Amino acid sequence: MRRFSLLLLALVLGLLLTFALIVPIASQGQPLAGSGPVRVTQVDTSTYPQVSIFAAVSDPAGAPRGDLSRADFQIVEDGAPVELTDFVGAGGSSISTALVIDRSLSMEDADKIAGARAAADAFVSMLRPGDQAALIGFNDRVRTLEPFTADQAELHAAIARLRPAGGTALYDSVIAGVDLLRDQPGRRALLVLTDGQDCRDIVSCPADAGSAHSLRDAIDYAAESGQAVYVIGLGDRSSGGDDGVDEGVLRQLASGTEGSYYYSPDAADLTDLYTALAGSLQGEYRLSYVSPRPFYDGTRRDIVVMVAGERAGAGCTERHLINVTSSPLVGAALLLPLLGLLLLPGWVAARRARGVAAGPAGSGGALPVAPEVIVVAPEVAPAAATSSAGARCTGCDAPLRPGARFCGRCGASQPAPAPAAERRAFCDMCGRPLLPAAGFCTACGEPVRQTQDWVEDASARGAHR
Amino acid sequence: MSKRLQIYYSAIFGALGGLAGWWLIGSVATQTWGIWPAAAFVGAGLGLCMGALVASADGAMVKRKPLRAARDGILGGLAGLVAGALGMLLAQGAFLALLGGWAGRALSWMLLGLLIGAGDLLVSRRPQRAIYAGLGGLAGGLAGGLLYEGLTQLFLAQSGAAQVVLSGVGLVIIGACVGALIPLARQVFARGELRVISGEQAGLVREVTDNASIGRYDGNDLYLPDTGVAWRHAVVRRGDAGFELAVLPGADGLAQVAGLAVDPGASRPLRSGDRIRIGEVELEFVGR
Repeated sequence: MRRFSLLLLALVLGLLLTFALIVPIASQGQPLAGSGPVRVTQVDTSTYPQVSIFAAVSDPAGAPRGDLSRADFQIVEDGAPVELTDFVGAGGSSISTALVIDRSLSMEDADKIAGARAAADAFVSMLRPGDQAALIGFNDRVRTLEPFTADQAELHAAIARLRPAGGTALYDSVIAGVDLLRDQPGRRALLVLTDGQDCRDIVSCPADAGSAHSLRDAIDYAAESGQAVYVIGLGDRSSGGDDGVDEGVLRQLASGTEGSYYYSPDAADLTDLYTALAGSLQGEYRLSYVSPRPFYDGTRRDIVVMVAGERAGAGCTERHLINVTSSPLVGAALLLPLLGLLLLPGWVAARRARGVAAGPAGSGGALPVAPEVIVVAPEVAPAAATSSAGARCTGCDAPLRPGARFCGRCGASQPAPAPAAERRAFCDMCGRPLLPAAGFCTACGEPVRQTQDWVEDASARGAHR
Repeated sequence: MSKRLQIYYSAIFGALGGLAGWWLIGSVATQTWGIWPAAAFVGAGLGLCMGALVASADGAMVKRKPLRAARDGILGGLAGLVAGALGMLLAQGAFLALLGGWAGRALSWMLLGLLIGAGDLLVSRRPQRAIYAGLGGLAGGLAGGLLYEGLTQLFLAQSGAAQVVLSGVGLVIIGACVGALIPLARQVFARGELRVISGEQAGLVREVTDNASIGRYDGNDLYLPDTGVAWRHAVVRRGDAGFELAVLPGADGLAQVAGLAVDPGASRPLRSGDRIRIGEVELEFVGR
């Protein structure tokens, strides 16, 4: 048993070690978007096994290139080139954008809120037919001020209602944005604007003015949904204090979700930045193909997009932990060996028993023997073994299994074994069972008459039978 | 029946449960469903089959009472159904959060194994026993999940037919691992065991976690279908001062510890190596 538990411990430790070695390799992954002229901005697997890739291509000067055609693109999944089933050129795919805007009290300074409103208005004005946008404002609390709509007038009105007050719950706003975008079709963009740090990270802030979630929570949540976050830092950079944007945090948020980080020192520049972002989103290509490995197996697929001699890597992971298809033929093929394994111990025991019986008796090979008797045979106590080992049929001399009252071969009735010393006795007065060697009945107090009569009587009856 | 053989049978039953689960969930095209309803359905199906088969192994192979096996199986299946659906939802969440891969797969199956093992609570109604079973399920899920992921990676680029076989083999492996490790964990963590020296069940070794009931009734932990054994005869339980044998009040029959009689309603401390006599059956208690 001790060896057994050590074995288990070794097994578990070994597995954990393997686990520990494998996890870092597995989590390294490939960066989704390269920083080169080709960038994969979103991989959409909502209609898997069809995979849609959104790619932005820019010229050496950094301006979006919109003149490429289907033949310019090549896609390789896990080393196998795939054929494009659908191609939407630059400006053709519809975009859903969640505009998340900081409306904490500090946005009042230096006309930052006015700059933010102007930038959002400019973005909304650039919506094309088919595009839609939503507005989320956050301070202590995160509020969806306008759900997804293509109605520009409503969006402008919602933007005009942005009023600065309260703290900064940046991380919660990212989570709200991811939730809002989750079920949107096509390209999903999340633009988050902030001028400060999350109150959660600032000691001087009241406890409830910050996010309920941490930075890590927000990054994990977005990454799990495959949602890139475009983060825009506005105003002064923090010099280690509580004021200004903490670029380290914002960069982490962007890079952890395969998004990008932009910085605008002045609210007046925001409009240009938002316009450029809208242009770059609208200049993306949508490339669709059917995975050459169309299985719902929860494995990762590495994708390479090649265009005009440049390449960008991306990847997607099929989402099912387990999804199986069964077939009766395979089921039967697996069932049979398992049933065989189930019967194996009984068969082995029967074989062994035959060997044991054939040894001393010589003729016992044909005896049908119940397996469990044989399995335990070596463990039977010596006293019990000697009393039963020698038992043989009175009629045909075949060996008997312990306690047998009839012969298994010829069916002859066998004499009962001598009664055990502790044979149960009953009180003459009340009929309840007596404890062994009791002088009096424990139930009624009647003295026990210790005569040998019943023993002799019983054995005589047994022999007679 | 030796402890190893009990583990073996439990593993085979677990494998059969995995196969039955694969057959059941694989005949429904869940890939077109949403990911969460599909996960709940797949988990419920797998939990039902694996839970039922693992729970019925004891009744079927050790006690050899079909009705007991069926009853335990139904309870285990019900517990597995709930635990599996819940566990698979959690596991799918963990899998997505870890973005798949080895870690995601292993952790997810660990969660499912843990909950299927803990479903023993409904069958045995013993928290301690269920905790050990849960730990066993956890280790079984880890081992099975890693093996399954290994197979998946090995046959990644194979055709659809190979994927069908692969998924079946994978679930059989997971079932076998969970099935084997649940009784193994109970045995490893148990502080004592009862060995049947003579009688119908001679050779059977039963672990005692916190307590174990003994009697002719097949719902007892140690089922002794011998003459002189009462329906519910005695309990071996662990108190502050170690293990003791308590004969149940109203137990009709003989009970002795190391040659000394124990009256109904009374108890006697047990030391490792003590011989116990229940009716005509002789047992040995081994403590650790």
